[in-house]
Amino acid sequence: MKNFVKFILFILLGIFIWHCVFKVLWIEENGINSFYEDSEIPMDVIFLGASNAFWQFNTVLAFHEYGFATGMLATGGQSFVATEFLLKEAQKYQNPNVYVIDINNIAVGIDFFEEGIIRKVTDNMKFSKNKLDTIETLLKYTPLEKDEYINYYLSFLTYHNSWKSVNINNFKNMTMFKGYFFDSSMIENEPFSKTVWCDNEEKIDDNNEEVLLHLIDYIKENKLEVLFIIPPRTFGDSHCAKLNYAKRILEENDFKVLNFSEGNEMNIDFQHDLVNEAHLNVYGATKYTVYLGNYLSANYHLKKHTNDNKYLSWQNEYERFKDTFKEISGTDFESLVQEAS
Amino acid sequence: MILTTFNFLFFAVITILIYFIIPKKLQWLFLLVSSFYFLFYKSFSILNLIYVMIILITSWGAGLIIDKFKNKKIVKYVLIISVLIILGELVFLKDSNLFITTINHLCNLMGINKQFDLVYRNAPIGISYYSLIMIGYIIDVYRGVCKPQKNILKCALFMSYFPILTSGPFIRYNDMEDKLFGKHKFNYDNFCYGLTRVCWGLFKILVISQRLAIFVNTVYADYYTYNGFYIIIAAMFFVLQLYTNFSGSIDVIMGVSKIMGIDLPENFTSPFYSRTITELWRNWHITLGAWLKDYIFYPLMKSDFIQNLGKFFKKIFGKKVSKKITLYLPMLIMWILIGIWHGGAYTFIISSGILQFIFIFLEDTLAPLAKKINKKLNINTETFGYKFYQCVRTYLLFSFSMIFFRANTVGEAIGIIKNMFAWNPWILLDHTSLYTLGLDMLDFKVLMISLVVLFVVGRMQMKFDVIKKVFEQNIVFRWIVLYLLIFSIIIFGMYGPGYDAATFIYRQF
Repeated sequence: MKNFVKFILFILLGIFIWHCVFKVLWIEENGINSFYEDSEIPMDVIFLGASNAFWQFNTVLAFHEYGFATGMLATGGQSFVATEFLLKEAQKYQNPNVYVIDINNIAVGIDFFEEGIIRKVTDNMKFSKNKLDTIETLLKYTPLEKDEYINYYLSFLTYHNSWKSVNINNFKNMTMFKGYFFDSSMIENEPFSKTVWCDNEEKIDDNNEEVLLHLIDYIKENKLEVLFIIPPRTFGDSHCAKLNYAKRILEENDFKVLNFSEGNEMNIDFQHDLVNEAHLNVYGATKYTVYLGNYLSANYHLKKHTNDNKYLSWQNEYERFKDTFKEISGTDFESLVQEAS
Repeated sequence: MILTTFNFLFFAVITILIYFIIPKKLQWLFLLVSSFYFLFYKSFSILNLIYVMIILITSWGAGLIIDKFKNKKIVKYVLIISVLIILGELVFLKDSNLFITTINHLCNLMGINKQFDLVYRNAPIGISYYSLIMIGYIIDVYRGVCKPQKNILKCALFMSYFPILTSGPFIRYNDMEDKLFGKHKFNYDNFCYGLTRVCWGLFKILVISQRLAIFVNTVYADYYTYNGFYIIIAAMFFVLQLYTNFSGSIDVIMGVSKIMGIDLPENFTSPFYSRTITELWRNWHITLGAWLKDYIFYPLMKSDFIQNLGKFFKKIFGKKVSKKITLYLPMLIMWILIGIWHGGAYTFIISSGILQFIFIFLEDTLAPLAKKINKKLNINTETFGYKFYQCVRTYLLFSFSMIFFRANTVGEAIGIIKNMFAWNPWILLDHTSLYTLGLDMLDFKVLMISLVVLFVVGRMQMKFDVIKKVFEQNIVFRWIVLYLLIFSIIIFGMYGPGYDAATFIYRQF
């Protein structure tokens, strides 16, 4: 019995060390980690989607301005196939007033295989049946053989090698602010002209359509409040037409779709507010957050948690963000917010 | 089933769990089932089953017949026929190409315009091991060393016990009978010891051997570009790669077996502290050497043929020379057989056969001369410096011989040796050249630290059982050592996507 207890203790301590080691070896800058870290705190809004979500919606600014807490289950290049699984993941921990789903990547071919895109979702999910289902489904569209799936089920098989690049940043995640990504690259800008939104439609990939219809059924079955958005960015004609197609299906199913690429109510300056053709920089993100935050706050009866101690870390993160912004840009963030408001 | 894959890990865990859960009298039967599963995992075919059955039925039947007709002349014929059947099958499956290559060379030499195609046969896994093990069994029954096993299923388990199928060691029926067919209770000490041994084996394979393999493979694949000191280092690395790969596999095997309470004979000690090639082979693949000595070398030495030859040469050259001939001729035959066993190619016959024989022959023959020189020059051969020189010399000679082992053909080996003489010692000092062969500076650092650990543990192992010693320490020390070992494997091991799941050099046998 004594030996058995010792053995169990040895295993438990080993698992703890394992957890610490791989936390250092595998630091990914996306929103999922923040989502899990704050899973005990009730969230009002949860974002799902690709980098447009966590690069553009400043969660700590939204909290400061409107008092609601936002969770990010967004990852770079996130395949639309992952949406339903991440929705299920969110439901396990939270019951938000509204889910905001970025549909940009529904216009991207489902068979577009890039290991990193899949891994950003699957490697960051906590181990559960849902994670296994996500892996199984996402890998179905890849040329991988079944026996190669093990590398996704056990992600340390891939990441154990990253010991070579361990540095101080691996011990502290400096660039994420409650799921919002900000570093020095986000103050840079690349000038673009605003693309004109198209009117025509183009059929999306059959698999994507199937996934979309399945998602619609799931949302209806679970009676979830969902807002779909098309993020502000520049578009090619085909991409725009495919999004129109998806938008129509969603609207036919009585879902609200906000298209931030059509029109320009937020007054995005395409000469200064974009970091690249697909993403807003911090200046654009501030305008976007103020606008969308206001919309969410007004339309979904979101609670204000500004004076709630449970949410103190959100306010602290906002202060850290302001300091970081000042350090990098040399200007005061509050004035930027005032301009955007 | 490769020892460093999850498939093996899963298989071993399930096997061990079931082994201790089922009634003890069924344990051996379960081991047989799991061993046959291991034997035919992903390689089942009727032909392979027939090959296995031929060896099993021949050795089991021969054992029974030999026992039944003890002291009768027929017994000798049964022995010879059964050994020839098993050897014939082994040669047919593993060494056909050696004969085909030889015939093709002879045809070329004689100007005959005829070439035979090489054949590639899928032999059942581990056949090189259990063929010799079963020949040993038949000879032991013949010699009266052991009683034959009447139950063919038990005989099948002795032949196919899964831990030995990939890399040995060579087991003997007398040693294994009680262990294999006995009843085993779960023992916590065995469990800890076995698990640690498995981890140590994985450390050797995944952290050291796999790293070395990257460097070695790059150099051997392009030895015209990577010549001179690159080749010298690659040759030295290859021996370490071979050792860590092979002895690491043995550690994993012995660890798994130990957990089930079945001790296997040691196959390696610390070969790199050997002062001569003879001593090195006493520490390297020990059970193969012992098998060949017991079943080939000594019987050959005592055979009528060698004795008559000795008498013949005694008349011509005198007693001293004839004594040498009766010693070295069987030895040469034994070494050639070791070479052939390693694979049906001349590279193996030269590397692990003829060259080893030449080294040992020279060591023996020149020993009196070296003794005289040392005495004359007043050299103390028992100092650290001299012993170190002898160890390095042995290691370098062995590394040289293994160039043939690693090369694909004899011609390639000769090409590699020729290119070895290019002069480029600066690659050792310029801090960049060595890092362009697949291992960067950090990998080299990990490799060097791991090798230091390997050599220190090897040295300690010569004096005491290191794992046992660790378990005698207090719990904090013990756990630190174990966690260091486990996390070194997990973090620094070369596995996962991008790495070939350990090409086990000895698995092909």
